Amino acid sequence: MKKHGKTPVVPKSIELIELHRKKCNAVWDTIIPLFFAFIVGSIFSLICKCSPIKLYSFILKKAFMSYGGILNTLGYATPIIMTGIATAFSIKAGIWNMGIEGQVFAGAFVSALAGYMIKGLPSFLHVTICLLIGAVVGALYALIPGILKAKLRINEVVTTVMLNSIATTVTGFLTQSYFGTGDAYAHTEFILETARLAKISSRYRSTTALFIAVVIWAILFFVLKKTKFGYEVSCIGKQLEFSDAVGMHVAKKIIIIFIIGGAIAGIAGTTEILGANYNFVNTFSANPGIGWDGFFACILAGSNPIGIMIYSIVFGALRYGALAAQTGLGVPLDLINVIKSALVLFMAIKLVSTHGDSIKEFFRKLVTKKGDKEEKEAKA
Amino acid sequence: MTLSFILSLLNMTVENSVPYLLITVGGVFVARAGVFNISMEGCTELAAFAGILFAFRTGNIWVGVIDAILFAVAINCIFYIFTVKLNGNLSVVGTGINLFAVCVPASLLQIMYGSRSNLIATKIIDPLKMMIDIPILRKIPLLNEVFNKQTFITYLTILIVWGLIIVMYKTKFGIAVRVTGENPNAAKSVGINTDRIKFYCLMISALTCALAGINLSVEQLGMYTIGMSANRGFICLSAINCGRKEPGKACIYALIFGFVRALQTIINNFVPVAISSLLGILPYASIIIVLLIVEMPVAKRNHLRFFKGAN
Amino acid sequence: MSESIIEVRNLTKKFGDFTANDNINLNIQEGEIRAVIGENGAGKSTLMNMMYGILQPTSGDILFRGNKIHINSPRDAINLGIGMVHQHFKLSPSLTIYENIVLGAETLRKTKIGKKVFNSFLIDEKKEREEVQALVDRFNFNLNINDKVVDISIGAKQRVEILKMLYREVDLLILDEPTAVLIPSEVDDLIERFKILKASGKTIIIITHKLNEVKMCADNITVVRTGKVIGTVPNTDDTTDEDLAEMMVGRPVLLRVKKSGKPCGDRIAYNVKDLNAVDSEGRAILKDINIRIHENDIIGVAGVEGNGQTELMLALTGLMDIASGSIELDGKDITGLWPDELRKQGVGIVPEDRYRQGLCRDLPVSSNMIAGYHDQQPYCKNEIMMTKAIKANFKNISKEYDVRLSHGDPAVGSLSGGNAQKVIIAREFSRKPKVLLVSQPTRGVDIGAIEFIHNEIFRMRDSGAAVFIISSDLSEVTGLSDRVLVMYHGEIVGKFKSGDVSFNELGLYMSGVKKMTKEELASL
Repeated sequence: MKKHGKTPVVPKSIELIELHRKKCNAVWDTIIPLFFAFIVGSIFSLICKCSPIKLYSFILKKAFMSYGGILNTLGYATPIIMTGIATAFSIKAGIWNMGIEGQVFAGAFVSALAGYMIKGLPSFLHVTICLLIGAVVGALYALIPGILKAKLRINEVVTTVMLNSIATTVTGFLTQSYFGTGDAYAHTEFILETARLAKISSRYRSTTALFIAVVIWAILFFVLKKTKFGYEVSCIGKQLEFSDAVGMHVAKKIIIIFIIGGAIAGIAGTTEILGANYNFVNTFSANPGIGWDGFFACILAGSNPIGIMIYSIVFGALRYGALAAQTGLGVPLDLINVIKSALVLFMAIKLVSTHGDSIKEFFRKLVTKKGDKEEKEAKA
Repeated sequence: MTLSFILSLLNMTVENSVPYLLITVGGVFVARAGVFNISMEGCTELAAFAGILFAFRTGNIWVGVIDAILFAVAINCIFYIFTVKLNGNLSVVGTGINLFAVCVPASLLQIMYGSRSNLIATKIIDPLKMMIDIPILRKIPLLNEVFNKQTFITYLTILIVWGLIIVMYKTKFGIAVRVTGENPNAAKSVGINTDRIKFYCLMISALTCALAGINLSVEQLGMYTIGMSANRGFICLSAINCGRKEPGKACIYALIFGFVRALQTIINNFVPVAISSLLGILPYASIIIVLLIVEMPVAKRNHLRFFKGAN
Repeated sequence: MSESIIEVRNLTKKFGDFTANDNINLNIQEGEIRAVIGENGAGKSTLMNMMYGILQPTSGDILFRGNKIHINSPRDAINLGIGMVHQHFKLSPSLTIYENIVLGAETLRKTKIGKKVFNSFLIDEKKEREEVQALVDRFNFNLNINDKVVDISIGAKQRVEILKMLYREVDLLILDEPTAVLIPSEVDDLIERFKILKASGKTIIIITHKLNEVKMCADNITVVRTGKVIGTVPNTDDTTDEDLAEMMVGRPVLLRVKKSGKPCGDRIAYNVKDLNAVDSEGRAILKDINIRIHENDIIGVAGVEGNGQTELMLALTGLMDIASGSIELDGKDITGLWPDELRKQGVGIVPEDRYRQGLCRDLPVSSNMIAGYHDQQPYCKNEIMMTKAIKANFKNISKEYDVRLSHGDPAVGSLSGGNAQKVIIAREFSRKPKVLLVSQPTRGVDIGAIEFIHNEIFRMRDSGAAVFIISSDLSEVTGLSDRVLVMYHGEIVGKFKSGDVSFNELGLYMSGVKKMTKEELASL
């Protein structure tokens, strides 16, 4: 028998309440590090004799407040979207592939060569071949730490960092000695017109690479969430021994995951060459490097693909804004990296979800102590 | 391959091994306590920078030395708070600190001196004066070429390595460190404060990384260049792993890497300028080769098909 | 009349909203051997942890020799004279036995400066060794104090743990599941040692769920259920195992599930021939293992842990390389196949360590219920995971295999040991495999769930499966199996019909005293 007027209140199940709490905590986890990071950034900004408010508003204006600015931001964000999702794929499997930067260099260098050495092809074919070459080279370079980990159980953190240095040194050397043009700064020949990616709007940085990035991002997102491979990746990331015990052939999967990461890193480097630089310079992957920016975006987003998209755009804005701020305000580029590292550090500790309760306790005790003190004073 | 070539190679090995030995032997304590610390790289870099900066600005080397130690300690305190006390992910916090330690010198240099390049303090510090001539050694023929005229920290390193090995195996603290890493529950059940042990180990590592940084910038060159620690922190992590976290064995690997570095410097004199930049990959390639040599026999004998737990 | 050595009054421990111990009142006399029994999760360990200072009570008092005390840490407990030997050993593998025993209380070398004597930084190893050796000799513990802990047996490790406490001269010794890892003769040894310790004035509290051992040595038995003390009964002939089990669970429990009596089939479903395996040092860890299991048959393996059972399970489930030998399923060669291929051939696997090999803690129950079969229809079509089919499977087999969930589809790590084990059993048994490889089916599982799991195993056997069971619980192995094999040092040394052999006889084979010849093994 229904009551008139009011509908009965249905109590939420415990599960829904837990989920709600987790989501709230996740939001706080994102906001609080931003807060602390910007404080740290402000301190350094003052050391650099620039008002933090002026700096932040300048960056915001440049990056987001104009059509050109947004295109530039997206242009800088493009490679980070790719390296970010590539890192996320590895980290979900518990593999700390810190070598994305090296794989970017490997892919970028060889594709830069292919960009001017392969002649007489229509544009569509030339671009596709360059991208493929970049992907293959990146994948092959990633195979080294992959096999070392899969067959010899060698920890990948150290091997990938070493390989990064090897990649940057070797490509720099080759550019200087064999493939250079003899100019003051070492760079390879400019790639042919047919290899260049079309810009979205001629004066700004975004190219069709943006669409490539988004497509790759979407594919990996789908694979992680919906496919069998994605299921296995999350199992491997959570419990290694279990994954092998249920027959997932973890060693093989590790090699595949490295290959995928390397291929995407190679494509990211290639798009920078084909779309922005048009040749290979050993400083093309600006400070600290598109691989590292992707790594940090991934960490800050907790390997969540949607978060990675957001952070990639934020980092793109920061990179563009920092460049502009250097010329416009005289602020050193590395200042932005200070903010990034502070962000990463504060994000790493997940302040709210892990320690939220103890922090609340701490403040409650502080408040009650104050209250007790006031009571005592009132009585006296 | 003349005798003088070998002797100068050994001499350079001694000189170049110092930072590797220092970072490694301090890092062994941290690793043994169960902490995977990749921020040793940033710690060394920042110490190298602080040493030169403060020596330059105050005109006094000792101020530089003390400040280098203070900065290293501060970095490791941050690492401790963020990982041990606040439970942050070790690799993430370590990488964050490394980035921080690389961009702070760069931005400060740009602010103070207008360009992101080197800080040369040779007016204050004369690298040649850093070399100490020991009268007793001068008289012994072979040892003189190899071990004499090294810097103060080089001689200190011998004491530090020997001393820390004794601490690890013959003192109560050393046993507490080993138990903390192997079985933290066992440590806690006998009243060992594992957090405090980890803190002390991080302080030891801060001290050794600071000395390594000072040796690199103040003693060897009298100047600071960006990225001068050149991934030594990671290289020493490999040394610790290959030496299975035992200080004696890890130091032997550190010596090997010092030797490779010395080799690189000497070969540099004999090759055309173009190739010399390529020589830069020698230390990195040597690590991968060492890892291969060490781990291949282990993997061959392993009949278990599955991967065991985490790092 | 002996005095009370330790008493707790209205002792309560809450973790947030969960009450682990609810107004416990207990009084233990000096020189008594008290057994505290209860199911997993009943709160026994929480109670003991409060007595040892690992946990602090939410409310209530602890009295030691009549005086109210606060035990803030294990150090306080030890200073009072209370020691605890944990179920999971707290030993450091790379240290020697004597170093582990003196851990935290190392003797320092003394240096003389003038007239004063100082403690130096260095450890006095000679003195430590002397003191520990004296202790080993006094209690006749049979240990070589210079051995590294990583190299000694599990029984020896337990003796080291006990010595750790005796070194600190405790009067009250608490032991958590002490016989979980011992063979019958070692259990007898341990109980004898308890009596020696009692005679020298020590008080002993044992936490256990092994009712037969409780009956062998305890003076009084306290039963704990869902955080409350149900009662304390003296250990007399009037108190039967069934009475105690009923107190532990709250309802009558069948301690021995009855076999149906259905005869074994004729066909050999699972045939292991001359299986050999080596470890990373090249030493043989499995030597010429031969196992034949028919349809409708259960073969059990008894043996002290560490004699190759773990390695045998790894080899049979495709997680370890086999040096030589073969495995056949219904005549088909399945040697060397990986776990996914084995499962496709109809082999069901219940692994030894459920949290490391059987389940993924952070994944929900529904995902765990398809693990290992996740690439097969209907859970996966064209590489895409079908969530509807996964959820449907989850609902169906959770009901069928009595997996108790308070709400929805939680992460498997939040389930009790018994429930988690049922998830694995639901997953593997529901596929109706031809062969079941099961290791430690009821380790860490409460008595109510044990009954259910044993019933399910019998059900699978009777419907045609060939079942292989490894268990360190002798009564479980003999109760479930049709035939029992004994393993010692990687070899099969004995084979019996389970009704035809006594525990003592089995114990002789398990400790390597007796060994059957190849002919005797082949005959059964």
